[in-house]
Amino acid sequence: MKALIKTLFGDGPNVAFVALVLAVEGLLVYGGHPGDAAVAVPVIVLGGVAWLASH
Amino acid sequence: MSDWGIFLATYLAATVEWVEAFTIVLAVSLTIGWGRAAGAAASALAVLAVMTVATGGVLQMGLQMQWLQFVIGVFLLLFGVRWLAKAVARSAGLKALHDEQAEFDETRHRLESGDRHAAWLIAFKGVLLEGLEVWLIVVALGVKSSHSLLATTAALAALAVVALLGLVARAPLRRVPENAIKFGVGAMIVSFGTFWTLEALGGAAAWPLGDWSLPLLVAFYLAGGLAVAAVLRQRRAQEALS
Repeated sequence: MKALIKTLFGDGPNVAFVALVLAVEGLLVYGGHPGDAAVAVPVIVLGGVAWLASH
Repeated sequence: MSDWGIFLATYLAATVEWVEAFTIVLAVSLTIGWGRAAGAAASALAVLAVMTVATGGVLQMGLQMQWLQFVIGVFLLLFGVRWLAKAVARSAGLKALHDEQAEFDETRHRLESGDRHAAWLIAFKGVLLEGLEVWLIVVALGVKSSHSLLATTAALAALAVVALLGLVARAPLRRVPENAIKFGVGAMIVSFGTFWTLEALGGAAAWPLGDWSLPLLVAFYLAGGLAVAAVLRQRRAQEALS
């Protein structure tokens, strides 16, 4: 079961980071800045990839 | 993204997973024979086929397109971020490259103390767990783009090629450039995830360039991932010197 959950969702830091990305997307879109989100979100995602890779 | 983009992403991702599954089946076959090992693999593939048909149907029935896109995008982000981060870590030397020979030896070692029933289960579970990632990509890319058949065909084509090469070689497929494939597929999957989650929340206004944003995102994540790997590799070398 543990292997199944890890296969589908990844580990804790991975899930937490994706939740953060979704929160940022929501804040920017519902705050009236959807165009800015298209620039900010990929940069944040890449930053998260770098962090996850180095930890 | 074009049909070819969906086919390529699914085919490459499936290739990586089927190579890993084949290594386990090969190791098990040396204990319980090809017939039983292939039977275990076929049983796992049958479960995956049922899951693919069932989840595809349920997703299309139960959710509005906007939320279906969001849910699929979230899964692609969860999956793609993990793959891209692993590929970057391996490229930077922070994580060992996946070694099919080591995986094969480890499975053989585990089988030494087990019985034939346990060996069958190892093959079944191995194919099922590796195949779950293929299932996720086939369902995600197929359902959202209404190209389920194309994505399924890509996954089955990858399975056929890996099985054929593996049966000819009768050895773990070590020459597959797994990390390079994971780098490329990770970038593509993260791009789909980013694009779909944001579009689901913000509508067309979120991506002023429309579908043209997708290849730009892939290029950004590929170039960015390579740059991050280079920086991490350099930092590691400096830490080793000091």
